[in-house]
Amino acid sequence: MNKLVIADPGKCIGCRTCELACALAHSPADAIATLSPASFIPRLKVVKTAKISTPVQCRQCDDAPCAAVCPTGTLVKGANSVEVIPSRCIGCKSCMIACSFGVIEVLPCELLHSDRPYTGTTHVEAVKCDLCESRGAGPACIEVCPTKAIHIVDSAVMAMTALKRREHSAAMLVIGGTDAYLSHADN
Amino acid sequence: MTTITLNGQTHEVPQGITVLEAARRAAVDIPTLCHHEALGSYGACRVCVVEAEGPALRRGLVAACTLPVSDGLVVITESPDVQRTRKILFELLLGRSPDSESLRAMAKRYGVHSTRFGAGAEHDLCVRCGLCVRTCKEKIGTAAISFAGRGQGRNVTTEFGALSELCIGCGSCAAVCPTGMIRLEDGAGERAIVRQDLTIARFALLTCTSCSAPVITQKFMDQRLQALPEGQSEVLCLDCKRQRTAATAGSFPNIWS
Repeated sequence: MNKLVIADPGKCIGCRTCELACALAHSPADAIATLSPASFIPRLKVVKTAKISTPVQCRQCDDAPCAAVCPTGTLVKGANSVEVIPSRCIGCKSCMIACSFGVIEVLPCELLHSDRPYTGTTHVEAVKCDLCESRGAGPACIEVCPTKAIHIVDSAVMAMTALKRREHSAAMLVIGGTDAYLSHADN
Repeated sequence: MTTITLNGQTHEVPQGITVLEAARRAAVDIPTLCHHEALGSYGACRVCVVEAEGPALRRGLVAACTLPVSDGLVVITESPDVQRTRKILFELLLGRSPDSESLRAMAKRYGVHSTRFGAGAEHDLCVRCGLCVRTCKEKIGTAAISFAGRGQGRNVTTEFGALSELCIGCGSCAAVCPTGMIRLEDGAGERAIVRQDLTIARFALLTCTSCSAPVITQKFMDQRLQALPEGQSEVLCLDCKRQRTAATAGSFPNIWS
């Protein structure tokens, strides 16, 4: 199973520190002074509505629609995430339309790599959460979140989630009998 | 594995790759205009010229993008011959497309600041690299644009130079164009794919079902997203998709509360 970064909306206070950490971790210089409004490109975006605030980022789908529609093999299944091979991108934006989470974007290279000279071809690149794979300390967003709302989910966490939910279901049966459980499930 | 010598250093590279790929793996700079990793080698622009010599290859200048690696191949990427030839190539390209900023910047990096060629001749931004044509046909599967004419009259154009009925408005041609000859222009709910002096196609954009922002063309939805399961083809803008993702975030397995 792919790993993914996900936030607990209950703990998110919408401060957008994760966005900043993400933009910095993926900027050429990794220094705040080098960021401009145009080059501020976080791969996760904090969504704030009347009901909820939470960062939204790539779910690293195991059956990824972005990879399924990509005509050039830019998006490929890696060891534990959906990986991007940017040099293959032709900018057709199929992935952007195919992703139902809205977490992959096709962006101009000049915004992404102000440090890199133009070597011809490819003006655009598919951009999404890469789990900070190239960063030794792991995802930058997790590190900076002041409320510890962001977590990495791997197969062990998934298994534990399932276990806890089963325990919860069992507890409901004991406490209130089948009727109470069913009415709880309805809610 | 194959052993080649690149600028005096020995490299072990996989069999079957090109000298250009080998050089890029070794972080050796070779300029290209008509090469794209998504497409095969084409050998149109020649600016990837290198000097090569091998057991079965007489010493000479070759395009790195079409030369496969072979055991004992010796490649030099910055010999005087290479530099002189590359400069002439850039001058010739600049003679055809003197107004292309990206081409000028690239030429400048290789020491070419002006050109002796092209005075009084027809100018445009197109260097005839064929990336747009190949992307459209090979990757998008559309072939809305192709080369027509020959020699100096060779040109990227639509069927009969009219508005293309085949184009799906994805804009990949514009994204891969190294000189900015082809552009994607979005405005007021409409999209146009434009080749400097010729409109390739024009579309009304489908709007986001939630906020009415223009998103994508109908032809794109029909052709590019066939692979997707039913129900995943609702047209939504990125912002509205994210809002929905956030709205359902609470129901994701949650063991922290």
